[in-house]
Amino acid sequence: MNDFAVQDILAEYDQIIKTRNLDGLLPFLKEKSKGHEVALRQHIMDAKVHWVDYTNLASQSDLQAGHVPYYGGRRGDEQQVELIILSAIALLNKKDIQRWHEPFDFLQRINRSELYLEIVEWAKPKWIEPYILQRFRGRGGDVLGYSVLRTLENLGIISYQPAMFARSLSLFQRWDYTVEIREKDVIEALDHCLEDPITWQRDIPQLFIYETFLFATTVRFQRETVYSPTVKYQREVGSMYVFFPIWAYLYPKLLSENKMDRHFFIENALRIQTKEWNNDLKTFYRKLLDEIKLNTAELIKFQELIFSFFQANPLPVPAFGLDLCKKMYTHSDFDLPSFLEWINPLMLRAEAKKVIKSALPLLEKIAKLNPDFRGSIAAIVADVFSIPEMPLQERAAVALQRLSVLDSSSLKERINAYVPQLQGNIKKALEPWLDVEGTIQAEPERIIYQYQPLKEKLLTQAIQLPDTWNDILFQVGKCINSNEPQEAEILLHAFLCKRHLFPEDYPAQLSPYYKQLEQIYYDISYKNDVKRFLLCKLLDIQADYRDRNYKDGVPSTLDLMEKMLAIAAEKMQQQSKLPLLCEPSHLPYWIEPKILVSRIIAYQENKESIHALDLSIAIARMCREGIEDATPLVSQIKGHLQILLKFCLGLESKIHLHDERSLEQWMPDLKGSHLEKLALWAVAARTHDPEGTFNEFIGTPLQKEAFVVKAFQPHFYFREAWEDGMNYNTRQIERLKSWEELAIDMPEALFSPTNLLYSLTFHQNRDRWSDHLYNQASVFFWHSLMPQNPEPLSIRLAISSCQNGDFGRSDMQGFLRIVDRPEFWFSDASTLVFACCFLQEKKETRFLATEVLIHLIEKRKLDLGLFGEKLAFLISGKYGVLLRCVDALAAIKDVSPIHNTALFMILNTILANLKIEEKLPLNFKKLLEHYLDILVKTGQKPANGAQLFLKKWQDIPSVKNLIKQTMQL
Amino acid sequence: MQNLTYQYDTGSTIKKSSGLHQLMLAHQSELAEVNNIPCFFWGNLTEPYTTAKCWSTIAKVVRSSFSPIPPSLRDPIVSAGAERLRFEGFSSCNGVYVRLDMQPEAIDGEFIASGTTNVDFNDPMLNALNAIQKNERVTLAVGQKEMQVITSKTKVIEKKVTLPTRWIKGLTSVQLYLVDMEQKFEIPKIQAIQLFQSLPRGVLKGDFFVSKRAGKFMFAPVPTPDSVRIGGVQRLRLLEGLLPLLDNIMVYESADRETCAFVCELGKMQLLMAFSPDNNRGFSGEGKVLENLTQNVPIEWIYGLNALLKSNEIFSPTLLSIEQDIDLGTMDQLTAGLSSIGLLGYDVAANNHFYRRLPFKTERILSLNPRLKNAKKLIDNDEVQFVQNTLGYIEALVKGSGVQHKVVIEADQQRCTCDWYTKYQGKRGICKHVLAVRMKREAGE
Repeated sequence: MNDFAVQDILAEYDQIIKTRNLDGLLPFLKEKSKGHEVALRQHIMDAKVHWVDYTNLASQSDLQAGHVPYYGGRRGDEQQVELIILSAIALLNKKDIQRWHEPFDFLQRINRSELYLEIVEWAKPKWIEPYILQRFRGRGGDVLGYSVLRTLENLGIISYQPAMFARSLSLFQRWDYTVEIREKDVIEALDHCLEDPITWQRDIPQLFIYETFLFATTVRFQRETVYSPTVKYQREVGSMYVFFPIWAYLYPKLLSENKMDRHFFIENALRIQTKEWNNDLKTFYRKLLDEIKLNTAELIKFQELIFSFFQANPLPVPAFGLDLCKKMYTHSDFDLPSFLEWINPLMLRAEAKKVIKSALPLLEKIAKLNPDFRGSIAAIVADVFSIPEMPLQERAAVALQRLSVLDSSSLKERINAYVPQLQGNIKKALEPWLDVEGTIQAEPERIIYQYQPLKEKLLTQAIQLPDTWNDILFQVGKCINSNEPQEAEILLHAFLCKRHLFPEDYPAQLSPYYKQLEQIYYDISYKNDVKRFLLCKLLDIQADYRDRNYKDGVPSTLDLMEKMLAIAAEKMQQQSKLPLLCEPSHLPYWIEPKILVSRIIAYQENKESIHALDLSIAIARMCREGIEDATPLVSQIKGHLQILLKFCLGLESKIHLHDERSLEQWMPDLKGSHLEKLALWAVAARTHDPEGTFNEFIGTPLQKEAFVVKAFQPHFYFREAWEDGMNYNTRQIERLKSWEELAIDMPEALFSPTNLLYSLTFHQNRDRWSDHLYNQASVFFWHSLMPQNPEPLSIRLAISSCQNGDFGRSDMQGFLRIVDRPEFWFSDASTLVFACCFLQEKKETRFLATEVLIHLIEKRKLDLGLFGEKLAFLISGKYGVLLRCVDALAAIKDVSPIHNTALFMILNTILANLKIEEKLPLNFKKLLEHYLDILVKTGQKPANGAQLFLKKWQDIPSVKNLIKQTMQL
Repeated sequence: MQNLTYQYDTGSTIKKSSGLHQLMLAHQSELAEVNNIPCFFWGNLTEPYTTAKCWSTIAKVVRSSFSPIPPSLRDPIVSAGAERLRFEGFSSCNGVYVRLDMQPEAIDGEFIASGTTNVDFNDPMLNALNAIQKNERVTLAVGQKEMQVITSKTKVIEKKVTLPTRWIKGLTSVQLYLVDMEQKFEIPKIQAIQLFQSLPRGVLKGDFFVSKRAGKFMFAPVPTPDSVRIGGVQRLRLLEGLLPLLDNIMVYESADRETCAFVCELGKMQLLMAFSPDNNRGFSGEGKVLENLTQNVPIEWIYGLNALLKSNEIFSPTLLSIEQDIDLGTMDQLTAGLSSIGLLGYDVAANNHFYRRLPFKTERILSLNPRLKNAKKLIDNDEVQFVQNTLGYIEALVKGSGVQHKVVIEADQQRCTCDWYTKYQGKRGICKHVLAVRMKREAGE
């Protein structure tokens, strides 16, 4: 072979493509490819890149060729692509073709094109089997049509692969919806398929071995084209199509034509029910089993299989098993011991309440027929009491009474083990079986819950500041990785006070962190502020850093980190070695009074300016612990600041406000406007008396600000919210849905100085996106700035995250974690926000809320009356799904006697304060069940308010019995 | 090293004749000497229904995935020897480890050979397992005792399996977590069922903790001093199928409260399921083995142990040191080293190591850890420079991508300025830079 000959062959191949000579391809391959496979393979791959692959067609040569510029596309047309892929199928090897996706679609068509088939038949490619298996096992699970696989198998190109054949067969074939499909054609195609013995003898049985989605294999018809009365079409409301279920047609046909043994089908359809397979597939086979109507002999034959349904999932499977058992339990060969052994664990499954409820009458009937088994059946029924569900336990108690097995010690032992689980009045019904101790508990210890929040110690762990350069270096890494604000503040300390530890090569040592920061984006706004600061300072500690300008002049609370960083940067420029006043001394954000006083003295001694914002945050963070250590030092503070600090420490109770001039004179070392100086007093006052009234601010420019003269106590109410959208039938904009939304009215204030911490985001007609918290880390940061007064945080969350039960984000979980901290105290607003958490859609929030409630009750930190009122307000306003709240509250039951008392108080208050006019919310019965149970457990009677509510609804059938039992206590 | 691909000559089969199920597990190993063993065990299952349910649970684990890695079929390995069978496997994401310990009473038969091998868990076999009922008899063969008569109906289907390297890495890592665990709770059957009933439905973000409150076990989103942290709590659902069968569950937790294990007592069997710290973290990626791999285990030890111990045999460092005249002081390090290359498994309930040689080449196991490989590369390229190297304090500069990383090793801290250390702060094993510094120091360079 010489190069000349090869070049001729390749040119001939190119010519075939250019002339779209489909007829010439196979003769060319047969005559010219032998001996030139290597060159042709490479040429085909090049041709694919040129003709087939999508590319930018805007190059000059493409423009000349008449292609549309600026658009991506293929150079080759349909026939040219066809020629290249077909030649690839014929000549390429496994390695070359395994990444191509086009051959798969071409192979799919071999039964529709003689040319395709001839080429495959002639080339007999060895790569096809691994190629299609790779596609089958890949993420998409792609499979060729069943008829294609059979053709390839018959040609000896692929071997039989049961899993792949089963999947392919389950899909039956791809229907071409571009041409009209007639029902007759489909039925003919299906009938024709069943004429092939390999299909029904070898392949169809594999559908019971490999999981498929055959229940979804349908052919779509327009409604009016359907005529056959024998086919049970699947119909969808409002759809113009109906769907022909292929396998619902094929299985009955196989059975009626005796191509599938009826017992074989029954056994396998039953076995599928206990496999870890798709639930819709299980449903499909259950329907078929229903349709073929199993007789008693068949049921008895497969009874062991049916019994195993009781341990299977999903719940319709045990329910189906139970239905089948109802049809055969009277048969003499019914294996009762085995049935009882299998059904026993079902009685412990709380999620199977309905199935258990329908099993109990069956067990009673069986016991009647087989008196010898009454004891074992009673023991099985007793296990139902492990499920704390009142109606179910009531039914089980009735069953036990009917079984009347009174002398069994093992039964008594079993029932007594479940005493803590017994609901409501069930104990009375079970008295014949209960030990004396069990019934004695009917007189519970009366424990009183009193709202008595105790002050907890806050200064528990001093912050370890970096002592060496290595500590500073790795603190940068900690700061980058952590969402705790104090890590950034510890680093700031190093930048301010430990610059002497920085070695000469600090930029080189810090450069890995610089590189990391360049590649990080935080979804937490204050973290991005820290990032910007570090990017500025890491490689040059003296670099100029500026904060952003706020056009409207009012940063949000979450922007305060940036302001703090700017203050630190300014101090660094001035070569200050003193820390920020607001730097925490104790974890997580506290400042010890002695330390703050010492810092201020040091500032004054070094003649360093004090920033109003820095001092405001420091005041908000300084707790009144260790005052005795600070008191001797405070007199060393000069000027008006001494009075302010004495006020903050509780040594002075009077607020000293003066006019602008005197404040300027009294605080010469304080950098800030007159308003900011006034704001310092406002913050100091509100920090330690969050709910107090400070008339001193009346007449000052701050008097209209929230939290200055009075604490902001918003009025919460429900208002209608809605969503509009286009109705495409009427072409009109219509109200699609509406709902009730929790709302408040903002205070009159229009502007606050930056250091008026508690008031920053509460302005009329303003709810900026930058005020929203969005995530837990932002909640923690906010709280770290003003930890002693969580009221603004609670109100902010009420506005931005509590509009309705489906609105909550992870910031609500952040709030709950704050609630669980020792310094947190409840106000009207924070109690409401806490109550909202119990109705939130996010399960994580509700779980956490329950846990926090348990802690709060242990510490007597929650006013349960107020909490119950807030819950009643939310339930009355249809804030969220009631069951969420009921389940979250019920989870505190039986944690301890005090928790039961607390639950009684909460439910009492809810019932007394509900304002429901039309009808009870869905699942209200559940709430009443828990109420009755907790009344029995605590030995209480419904309070007057609750009784009034219950009387109002006592005639409603769904709750009539429960209310009657409750009122009779 | 690339993923391991191996091929079974025949698939596992289960046949029923005269009311007796005969299960033959096809096996395959990368080690020729193991592969040549036709059969390891042949005998009867004394608890066929429970065993079948345990195997189904193992199959469920090896076919599941809780991270973006798609679930794909992986076969478990079985260790036969010392009158026990142990089946082990991982979820596709490597975050769940499962092991069934079949004690001598669970099997009645003959151990023909000792060893560890991959076994084929194919769909038809699992289907047949699903059919095993309570009162049926089942024989089990690990490997083929006799040549099968191949008829046209029982056509041999060759099965190819690709094991990703992370799967093998998981097997070398998991015992290092288990050895670090302590028992926290023993939950009786009824309480275990009630606990699982309170398991929140759906996928939940965040940590959950099992704690005991007022005598009841429950899940809570907040830790208490004695609670056990469960990362990716919905993974516990893998155990649900066993709840009706178990006697009790023992819950173990690692000292760092990151990983946990649930051991189901099932009469003559124990099924252990260990959970990585979270859904997106596998046992393979945690770098736990790195601490022990800075010193190589001599290759003669690997072969020597195989001659001394049978699969599943208890590995007693004290006894071995006396018998083989090895310094007792080096045994702890040796135990950790042997665990790190998969020669030792760990039984949390019995609190001892057991020997088993994974069915993979030692070179493959040693080459698995990219951090180790990269650390060696740093040393080979002379990219580690000691700034200070004294007793108790090491400071070094290690070349990174476009930057120099600083490594400081002092007291119990090993810190680095690289991305890995910054992100995990030492919680997920040491980085390649620290590793390289330690290796260079240990090599006396």
